[in-house]
Amino acid sequence: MPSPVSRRQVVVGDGGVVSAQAVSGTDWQQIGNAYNTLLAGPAALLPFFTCAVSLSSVADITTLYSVQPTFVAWPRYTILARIWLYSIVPTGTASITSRFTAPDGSYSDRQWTTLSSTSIGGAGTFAQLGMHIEGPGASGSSQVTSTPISSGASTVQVGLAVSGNATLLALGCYEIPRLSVIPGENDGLNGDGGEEITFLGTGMPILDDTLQTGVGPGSMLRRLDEVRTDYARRCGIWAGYPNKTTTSGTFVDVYQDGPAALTRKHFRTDVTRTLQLGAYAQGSDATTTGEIKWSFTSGASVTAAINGSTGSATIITQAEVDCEDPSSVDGRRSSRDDIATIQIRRTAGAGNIVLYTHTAGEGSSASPTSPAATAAASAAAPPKRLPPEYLFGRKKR
Amino acid sequence: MSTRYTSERLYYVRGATDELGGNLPMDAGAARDVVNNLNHLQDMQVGFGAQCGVASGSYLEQSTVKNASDADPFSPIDKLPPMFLWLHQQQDGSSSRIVVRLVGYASAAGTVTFRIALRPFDRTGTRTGSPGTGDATSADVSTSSTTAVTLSAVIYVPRLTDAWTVELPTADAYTNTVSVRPYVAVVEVWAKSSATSAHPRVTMVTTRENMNAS
Repeated sequence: MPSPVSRRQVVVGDGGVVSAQAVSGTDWQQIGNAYNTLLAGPAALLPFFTCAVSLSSVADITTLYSVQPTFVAWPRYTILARIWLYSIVPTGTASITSRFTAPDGSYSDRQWTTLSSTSIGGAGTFAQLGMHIEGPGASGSSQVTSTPISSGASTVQVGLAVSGNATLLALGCYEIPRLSVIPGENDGLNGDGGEEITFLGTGMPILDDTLQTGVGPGSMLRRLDEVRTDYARRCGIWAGYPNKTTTSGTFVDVYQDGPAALTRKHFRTDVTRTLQLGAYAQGSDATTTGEIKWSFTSGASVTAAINGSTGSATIITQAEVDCEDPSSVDGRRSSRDDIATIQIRRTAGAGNIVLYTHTAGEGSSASPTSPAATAAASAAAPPKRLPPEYLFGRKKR
Repeated sequence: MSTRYTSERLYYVRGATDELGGNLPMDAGAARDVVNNLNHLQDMQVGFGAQCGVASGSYLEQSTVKNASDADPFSPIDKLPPMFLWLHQQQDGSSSRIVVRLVGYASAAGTVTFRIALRPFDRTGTRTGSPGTGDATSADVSTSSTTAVTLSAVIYVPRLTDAWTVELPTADAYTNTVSVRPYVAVVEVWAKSSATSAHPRVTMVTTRENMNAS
């Protein structure tokens, strides 16, 4: 099975799509492949980030993540998996558990693995690299819709569940389709969301979508802007788990050197794009409140309030940061890294302000197509297959 | 006219799909814009990264520095774990390029060299030795500064073979047995020093995929 991470581009110029020449059936098939690959491409939810968090029993890390609006598929479970990669040094027998909070508020605990210090080379000298794979929820027949960070973050808690202590050195989470896009399997039939590329075969006529409801090249190309905004995003640009505490009334740095942000370039004149910022922070008591501030090299700055212990710990805001410059050798704009200085401070009360985690990633469009609605529509009215008289061309009149 | 697998425009052509109408023939020029848009989206989708940051006022250090004359003078930075990096495969079989940004310095007078290396994923996490010199999958950056400086490098895997894939079997709660095989690299940072008293120190390591469609 080919890797779903392989790019599937379409040739332009010699041997491909050329202005003033007919677009061949082969080119159309490549276009279909590229389109479907964009729909089903993998996403980094929590890009791998070292954290060196010391965990004792039942010490959860709570973080936020952003996902692609969904690979519109039904049922989704058969094609999607989340891959957790971690590096951990246990100092005793321990197990780690991930806890997902689903958009409907329910959650599920999944034990990853049981670790033993004796299984680590040199009694914990080296970190253990681990991997865990799971679906976004219990197996079922209906579609799961993940919530983009821009409209309400999903949270995930990761922590030690039983006795023992450990240092979690690093953590990352990726979302990946379990199947590559294969003509006739998951490319558009039965409401699975892709385009029906078997109809774009070499030597076959290109049919308008009025003949293939919702699955023709016309609909595919008209949905390209939706793909731009809602799919193929850089969902996770950074994630950090600093567990930073302060009582200072002036801003204090969280990191010695901050992470850098680089979003996708969209249109010709773009020099910045919106970065969705998330944080999980709280005061240690009800009356202790504070602020978190992100300041970027490019000049953007945003400050958000940190609630007391009885308020919400979830913080979501935005900043305009550098977008990639494809004409530069390393993608940087103006030969600079747009580095974030992340700071926190206490503004009221006598307790501590704690920044547990923070994330950054590209959000979806302001009003993305509802995946749930799309799935419901697909289920209610699955794409029509052409009647036999259309299989060899347009219907004779 | 050249053949391209990447965007000719280096941006998304706004409104290209507006030219498409039901039951109307499609102009090849408009098709070219649409194809460029598709390719641009794929160019931009590349951008996975991995980062290592340390708390304000701290650093990661190589506490025991080998003699510069040692046959293999490189050793890891203490407590800097290997970082996982998901790789995209390009049209020619190579990986996307990895842009490295490392902020580091020497603790005392001397020249420190950091070696950033990409390796295939190893479930055991056991380091089998320092990466080789001159390997296309590693890059060296050096400084004699005793204050933090930003060092940059670009590395990539010339050909992503099966060795770079990780087979991920059935997820729990699934009944099907379907595997995926993403390309996963482990990013390691090693270092050496011209003087055993000059400890290599790191305050941030960032690795980021870059397509460089230009």
